[in-house]
Amino acid sequence: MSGIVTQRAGSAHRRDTQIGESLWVRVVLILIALIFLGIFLVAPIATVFVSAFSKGAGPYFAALMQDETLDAIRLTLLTAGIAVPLNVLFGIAAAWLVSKYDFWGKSLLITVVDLPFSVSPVISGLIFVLLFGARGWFGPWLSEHDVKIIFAVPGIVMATTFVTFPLVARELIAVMQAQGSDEEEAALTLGANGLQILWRITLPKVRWGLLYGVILCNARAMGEFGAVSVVSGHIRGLTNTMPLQVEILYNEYNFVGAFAVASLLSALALVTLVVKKVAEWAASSRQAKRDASARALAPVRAAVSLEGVVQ
Amino acid sequence: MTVRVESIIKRFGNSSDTAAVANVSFEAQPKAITTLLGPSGSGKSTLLRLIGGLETPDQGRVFIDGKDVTALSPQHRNVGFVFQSYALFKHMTVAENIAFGMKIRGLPKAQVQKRVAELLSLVQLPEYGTRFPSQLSGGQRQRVALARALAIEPKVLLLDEPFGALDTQVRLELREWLIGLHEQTGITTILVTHDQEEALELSQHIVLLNQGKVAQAGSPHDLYDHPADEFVASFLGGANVIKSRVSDGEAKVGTNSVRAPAGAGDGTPVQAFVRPHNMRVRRPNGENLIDLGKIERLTRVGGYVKVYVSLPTGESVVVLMSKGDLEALQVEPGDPVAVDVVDAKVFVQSYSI
Repeated sequence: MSGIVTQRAGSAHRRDTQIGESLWVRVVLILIALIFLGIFLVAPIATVFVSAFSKGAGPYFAALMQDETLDAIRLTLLTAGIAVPLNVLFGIAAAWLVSKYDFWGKSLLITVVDLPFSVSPVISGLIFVLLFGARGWFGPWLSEHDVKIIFAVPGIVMATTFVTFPLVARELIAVMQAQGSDEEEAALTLGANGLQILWRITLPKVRWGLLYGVILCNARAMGEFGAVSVVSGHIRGLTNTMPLQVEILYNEYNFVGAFAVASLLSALALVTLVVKKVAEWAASSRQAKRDASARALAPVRAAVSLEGVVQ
Repeated sequence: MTVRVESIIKRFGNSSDTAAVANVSFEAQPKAITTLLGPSGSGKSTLLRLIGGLETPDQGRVFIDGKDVTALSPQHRNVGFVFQSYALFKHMTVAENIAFGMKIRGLPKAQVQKRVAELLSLVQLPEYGTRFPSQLSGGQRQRVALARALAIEPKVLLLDEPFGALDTQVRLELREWLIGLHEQTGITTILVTHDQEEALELSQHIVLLNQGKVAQAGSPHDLYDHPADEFVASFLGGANVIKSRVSDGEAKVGTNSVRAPAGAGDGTPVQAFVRPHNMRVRRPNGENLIDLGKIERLTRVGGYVKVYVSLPTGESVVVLMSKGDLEALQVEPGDPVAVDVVDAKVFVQSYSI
């Protein structure tokens, strides 16, 4: 969102230098952009932190140190800790399959990968209740064997994995398809096996895309509300993740507590954006550095070849 | 090491699609450069990828050094493959690129370093080991790709349009350089190209492909001087096409008569392929005016002159003459001239519409 807005402001500025629009047009456009940003982005995020610290730092940290809240943080970390690696594995496998091979049903697979995005998160949660709930398909068998999935941690992990399923795969499919498989074929003729090609060629090639996918996946895994809400059962200290804990605290009029947890999730979002920016910056500056040194070397090379001619 | 390809068939997509490679057999002689030449879509790159193991044939066999490698993965074929796009590992330095194959084979570090240094000097880039591919020019990248392919001491070197992405000047330089490199290493090489000049200059053996089939295979000299059919004659070295009809076992081409192909009866339409340097223009010497051509245009190309002549049959031909010969003739555009044919290949015209 912020990207779109700044881009719009930037292009307005460029147009100004080319066509020469009057000052007030510029001011109005910039004001519109700033007001929009302020109302829809800055104000909500600021509110979270202001409300969290409304009674000072002491109550803020006290709210975070409550057992139930700590349990929610722990569960959220556990869920993301399982869902993200699973989706990284799946994402790499799917992207490898889609970009390196041609097979029947390939476009169907790409569509199915996107499915969790097009389904409402509440439905995503409901799917697992229908499958593993007490009256679900596998419910009777599960209760016979004393395995709890719904209203327990496994259900939360499953729902989160399902919802965040496309994030790594989509990112990698785009990057891998754009890069082609020439380098992989070269490695193959040089004697590398599949695993060596994956580790030494493909993953280094797509590392920034992978990092971005992991960051997005992690942010969504920690922030998911709808699907998790359906399968969790809201058992305090056991099956509440951070977003669910925010809702419970808020409904109990514990505003400091609710916003304290919310501030953690917001901070996570901000950190995510910073890491993403740093990753992009690292990728582009590395490229720029190479280009610059290539340019710097060009005159030297020319001089050397001239020298050769003179001699 | 000999490379032999036996009755290879390869289709992409449905079995009803025409085959990219339709029953091709040929043999690449050891220590020679063999060129797979052909227009785009002739299946030459597919054939090279089949030899390298990057594609699997639907039928047929591939032998390297007498051993059937058809079922062997490229990983175990020990061939050096050079791609048109270079396919260098962008995140590795030049030295790391060259060392890759040797590291995979688990060679000791000292030996790898020594060999990398040798290869860098072989491809004349001794100072470039620490650079990244993005810091090199196209020609330099392709030389690194060659060094990387040579590093694994391959049995054969497969080059897929190696100079296709380079500008003319660099391409000509690299061609010279490749001939030198081949003399030094003596490695059996198969090269794919659509550039007939490249094929004629580089190779000892040419396999000319058309629509997935071998049109003709032989030495550059064979193909150029004794083309098997119309396609070979027109693809390899420009040729004038002159239509004629057979009468008394001969076909009239220009001012001369040329022996018609065996079995072509009177009245059979034929096509004569005549190289521009196999024709001479001279002043009329008592010929019927109706048999003479007319000079349309003279274009000087260095020491040669291209003489554009319209024949009485309405066809236009190009005659290549030395500047001295033409000056001795003292002709100008518009003058009537006789056109002698020194050598021509006559084929029965195929009515494929």
